[in-house]
Amino acid sequence: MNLRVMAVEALKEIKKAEEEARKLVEEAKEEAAGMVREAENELKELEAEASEDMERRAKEIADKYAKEGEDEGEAILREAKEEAEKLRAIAESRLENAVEAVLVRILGLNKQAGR
Amino acid sequence: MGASELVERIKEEAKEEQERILREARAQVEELVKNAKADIEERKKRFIEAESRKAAENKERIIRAKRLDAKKFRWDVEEKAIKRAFEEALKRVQRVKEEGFRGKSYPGILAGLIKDAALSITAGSERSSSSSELELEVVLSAEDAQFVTGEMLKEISGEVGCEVRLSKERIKTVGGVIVRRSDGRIEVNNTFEERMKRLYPGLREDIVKVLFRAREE
Repeated sequence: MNLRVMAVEALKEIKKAEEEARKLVEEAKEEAAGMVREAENELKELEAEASEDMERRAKEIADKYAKEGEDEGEAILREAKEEAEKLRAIAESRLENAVEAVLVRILGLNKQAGR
Repeated sequence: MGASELVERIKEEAKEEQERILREARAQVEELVKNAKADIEERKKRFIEAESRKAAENKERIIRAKRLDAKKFRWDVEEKAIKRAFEEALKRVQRVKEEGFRGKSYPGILAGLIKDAALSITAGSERSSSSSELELEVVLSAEDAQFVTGEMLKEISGEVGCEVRLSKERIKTVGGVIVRRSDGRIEVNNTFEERMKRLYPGLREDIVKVLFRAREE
């Protein structure tokens, strides 16, 4: 009788231990799944931050290059305007020569031997 | 093995299993994060490189457009100066009629144009008829008709070998002449407007040389 009781008690303890072991493993699995979920959520946030960062940096780069282009372009235009103004003055000073060159040809004086 | 030993064994195995699961999970998370971060950094790098290329191309596009505008400044100046030289030349014709040009009188200039035109017509007519049978007429504006005398036409007739006479027809022109065969089959238009049109490419080159090239040479 005593032996049977002891055996039953031993079996109960083993069953209990098995149940606790199963529970421990289940909890570990849940905890592991939680760790992965948490990491995935963090990565989503990281992804969103990276997207924002990329957009911001892309805008900075585009603005920087556009400004450089505008600055260089303006310098080219300024120089061209000055050059054009000089050219206009030179052309104006030589207009008389050009008019004469046209007249020589349209009056036919480049071919006439003299009359 | 006793029951208590068995219980301990079950507990130990469960503990080991728990640690294994958590260890693997941590390793999995670590790998996941490491790969994801590397992937994000790589994408960031490629994105920034692509955006930098786009931005650099845009910069070049802006500069190219400005260079084109800069060329237009020079082109505008050149075109206006060329146009002005042509306009001034036509305006100057009136003064040429009064004062002559480079030592030549206006009647002398007209005579030269008549002779050149007449020679062109006679040269073109030689194959079909003899020059002596040809009769040419000179058409001018009412203003220019007064500069042409019978003596001048007689002299030209002698030089070109056919009769050249003054037409009664008058035309509107700044100056110059039209010479044509009396039968109307050949005509040479030596009015200044027409000569300007005909000679335009060469004249334009001359003007460009005079106005702009001398400076650069």
